[in-house]
Amino acid sequence: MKYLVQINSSPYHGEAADTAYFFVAAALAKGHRILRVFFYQDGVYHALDQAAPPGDEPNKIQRWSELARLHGIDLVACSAAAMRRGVWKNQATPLAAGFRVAGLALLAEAMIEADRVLIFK
Amino acid sequence: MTACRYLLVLRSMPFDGLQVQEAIEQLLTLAAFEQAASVLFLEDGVWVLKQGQQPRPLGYKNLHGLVQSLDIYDIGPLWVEKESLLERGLTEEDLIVPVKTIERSHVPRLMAKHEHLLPG
Repeated sequence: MKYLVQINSSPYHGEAADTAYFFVAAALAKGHRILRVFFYQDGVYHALDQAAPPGDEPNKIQRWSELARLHGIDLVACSAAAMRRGVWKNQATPLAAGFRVAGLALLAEAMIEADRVLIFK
Repeated sequence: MTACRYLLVLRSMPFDGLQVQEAIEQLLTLAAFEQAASVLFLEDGVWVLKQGQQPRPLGYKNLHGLVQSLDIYDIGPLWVEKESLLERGLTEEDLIVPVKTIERSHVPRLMAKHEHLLPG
């Protein structure tokens, strides 16, 4: 099945982003296709490249980068939401590995194509 | 009631962060892709439609322009749960746009008619 996953919550606010991560990892393990993970609203904070939690804590950004590296999934942060929050300014802005920035059109396009749309708020 | 793909279920206060504004912007993008969409204002979400708001001094953009643009993008109907208005002492005359009211007991049926529910 083809899934579009949208994350509206920042990495350290509540459980939504954690649940999204575990869902995506489980879906990939079952052989499903993740069309795109779209980071919207406060979810764009996932794309920050400077996150460095203490060594004994899980890194909630790096684990997405790792998933993208292993499975080639498309991690997209919304450009308008990211600019508004200072996460992204222009093409020279560094982002966490595996992330890119694009407009809401990429979200709409994947929502239309997907068999299932899951939004984690 | 016509079958519709997307229903934005707006239950947040208008200025609870930017979630209402950004949820509406997402819906407008879907409409630009010619996707049929409508909105259900529920619980504190009905405050989004209350006339006479001046959020600018508090650091927020007035959402009314965005709400009024829904019609231009053929997004609708705008559903409002009757009980949510009553519980907050509001009537349809307090709202900035024409809406269709729906009773709480009919909300599940409305949701079932849509392929995708978006949270807001």
